Amino acid sequence: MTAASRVITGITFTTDEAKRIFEVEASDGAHLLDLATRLKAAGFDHCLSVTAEDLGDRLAVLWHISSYTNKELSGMNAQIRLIVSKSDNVEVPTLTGIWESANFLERETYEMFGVVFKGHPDMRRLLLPDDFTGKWPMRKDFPLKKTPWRVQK
Amino acid sequence: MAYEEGFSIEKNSVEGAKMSASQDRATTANLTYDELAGLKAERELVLLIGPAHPGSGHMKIKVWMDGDIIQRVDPDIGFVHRTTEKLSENRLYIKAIPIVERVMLPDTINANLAYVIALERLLGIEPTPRAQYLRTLTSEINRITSHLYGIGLYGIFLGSSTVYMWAFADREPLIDLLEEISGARITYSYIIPGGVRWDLPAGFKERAETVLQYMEARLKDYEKIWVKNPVVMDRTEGVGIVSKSDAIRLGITGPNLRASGVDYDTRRAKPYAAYPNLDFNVPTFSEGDCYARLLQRVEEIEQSIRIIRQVLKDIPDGRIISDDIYSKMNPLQKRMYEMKHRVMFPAYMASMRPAAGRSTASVEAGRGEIFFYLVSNGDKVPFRFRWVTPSFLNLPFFTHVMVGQHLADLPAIYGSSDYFPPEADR
Amino acid sequence: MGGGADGVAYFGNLEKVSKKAVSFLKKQGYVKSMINWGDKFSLWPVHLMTSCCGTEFAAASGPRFDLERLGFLPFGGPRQTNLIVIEGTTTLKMARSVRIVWEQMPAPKWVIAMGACAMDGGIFYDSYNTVPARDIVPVDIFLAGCPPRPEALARAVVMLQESIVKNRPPAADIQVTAAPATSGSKDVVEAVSK
Ligand code: SF4
Repeated sequence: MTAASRVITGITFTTDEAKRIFEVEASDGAHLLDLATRLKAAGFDHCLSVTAEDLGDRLAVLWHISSYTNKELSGMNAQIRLIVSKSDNVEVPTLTGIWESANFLERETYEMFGVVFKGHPDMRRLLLPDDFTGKWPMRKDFPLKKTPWRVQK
Repeated sequence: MAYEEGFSIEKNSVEGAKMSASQDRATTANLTYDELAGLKAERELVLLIGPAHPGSGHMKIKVWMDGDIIQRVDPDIGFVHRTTEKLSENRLYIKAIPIVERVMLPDTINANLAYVIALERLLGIEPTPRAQYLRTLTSEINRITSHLYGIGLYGIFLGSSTVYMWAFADREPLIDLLEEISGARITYSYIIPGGVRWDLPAGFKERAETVLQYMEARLKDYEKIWVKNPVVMDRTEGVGIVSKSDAIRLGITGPNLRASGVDYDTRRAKPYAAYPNLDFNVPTFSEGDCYARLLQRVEEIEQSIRIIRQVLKDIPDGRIISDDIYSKMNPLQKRMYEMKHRVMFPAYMASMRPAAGRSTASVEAGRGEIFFYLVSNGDKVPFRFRWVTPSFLNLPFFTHVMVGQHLADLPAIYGSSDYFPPEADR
Repeated sequence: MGGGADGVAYFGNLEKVSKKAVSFLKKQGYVKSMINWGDKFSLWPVHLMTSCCGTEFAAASGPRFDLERLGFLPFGGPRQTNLIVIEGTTTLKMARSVRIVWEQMPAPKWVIAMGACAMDGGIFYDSYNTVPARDIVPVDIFLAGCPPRPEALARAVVMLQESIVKNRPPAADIQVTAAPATSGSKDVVEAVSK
């Protein structure tokens, strides 16, 4: 892969133009908030997706952001990545204070990956039933049903 | 009225039981004004709307009300959550195409296109110019059918079944066009990595032109009976206003965003397929109310017609599948391709192993921006398959815009957002 | 029986006579066939969309396929309907709504399971959030396709009409493994994991 980079307000993005990847890594929660505040000031005005990746013993939490108003930035799907160690309830700071559009997306990430966003105004389940018993369906160790159903009638 | 049937007060909800109307009258009869104001918090009524269809389809909207003014809205979604992300991470790459299509059934080409673009970026394949134009063509036809679907259902929400009948009838010629190209009525699976599956059939251009002319004539009729209808205007004008700054703050997308005056279209901002070569406008409205959202869809149909005309005029000749994929076909498949201009799947499709890497893709679907994030670790199945659909991005719309409105306006607002729950729940 | 002075006819004990008349008519079998005929052309499906097959359901009610000519008129309130078309996947959340709606419908009532998902899970067969329709409500007609074309839905309705005319009773209620709201969704989860 070509390791190019692009600098926006002093923040260096690792980029791969052909694959449309513009990534910046946050080292910890405080750095994440600092990055997000600066990127918001630079013109990234909405959040496209919040998600996580199960990396085995760690989780990478990702915020994809883009811009509606700034014509230069609106072509980018920038992503902020924060790697945390995996446990039953991972805690990371919320970015809803900065991008309100992250609200439902963070709720989804919570129920799918068990990432608790500290400071989120409404950290509840969103898609699954309230009394769903399985833990964190999008993690790699969550099983799918093995046998397909058969119609018996 | 049609929407009343969708409302139900759930008996076992505590808040619902508290609020029996006769009790309320008995206790408030001898109270002073101050005491009444104190009771206001208790007077809050909670309505659970849905998931029966008229009023809200496949989703429940929990509404807190004072009188008939909506105080707070909590959309309870997930009634159609079919875990596509998890399933796609356990399927071959090519098998994710039907899955993403099923989620966005009125708008399958665009879902298919978004996924395939993300996959192509991962594989490093470029589709041929003709394939790019065919993708644009089908995507625009599908956009019209998707908007007609939205307009038709909006008719139901406003209690006008005429428009529902019209829109669903006018959707059919366009569906027939797509059926002619791809062989299926709704779930086309037309776009594959490297190109598309079928070429245009003979005489397609003329038939498409007939349909487009018919559609243009019909749009004038819609204007008379629906868009300029005083009843519709009364019910939608000034209702459910989203200001420009709110739309951006909440991350609303697609026609709903443009109806609030934000000039953003993924086809312009993050160009894909043949859109950089085409000339089209991005209509916007500054009002941001339900009426603007309705007009927005009608205008976008006009633009789509314009794009389709250009595509049919400018479409270049050549292969519909890229050389990478063509070279992987066996001789029989190659002969089939030369004879019938139809792509049979080479074995490569089932054993695709993109090199480890990540890619994103954004596509403007009928309801807004689809976002894809794919991660490969060199395996046969995606390592991470993330997608966000426009309806899901439009969800904050409800919590924001319905507050302070009358309950009777809820169907008007809900319908104007063209929210499609299976799409949001994925 | 006797005649009155001012042209009034007396029929004796009206209750007895009407009971006799009812039992007489029942023996004849016309009434049953008349009721069946009535049911046949008033299959009103409840307007409950469960999944993406709903788009084809909508198209089927539209002017091109026009299922209303078969007496198939989607209606909002479950109390006025006698048919429920399960349009595809039922998820854990939706399963409860489907069961509640089905229980609210007056008998006799029929169920069409539309689409591969409602039959057997379709392409979502191994998902952790779906329940087969036959575990929620008794199904009369299974309709294959993904999504079935509107013509196929029309065919399913015609088949249902034929079975009504042949006096076949609606499918008997099942032991619910996917439970209604009152008993919570734990049972649903168990049904899925079993
Ligand atoms: S059968 Fe196909 S179209 Fe119908 S609900 Fe299932 S996936 Fe959707």
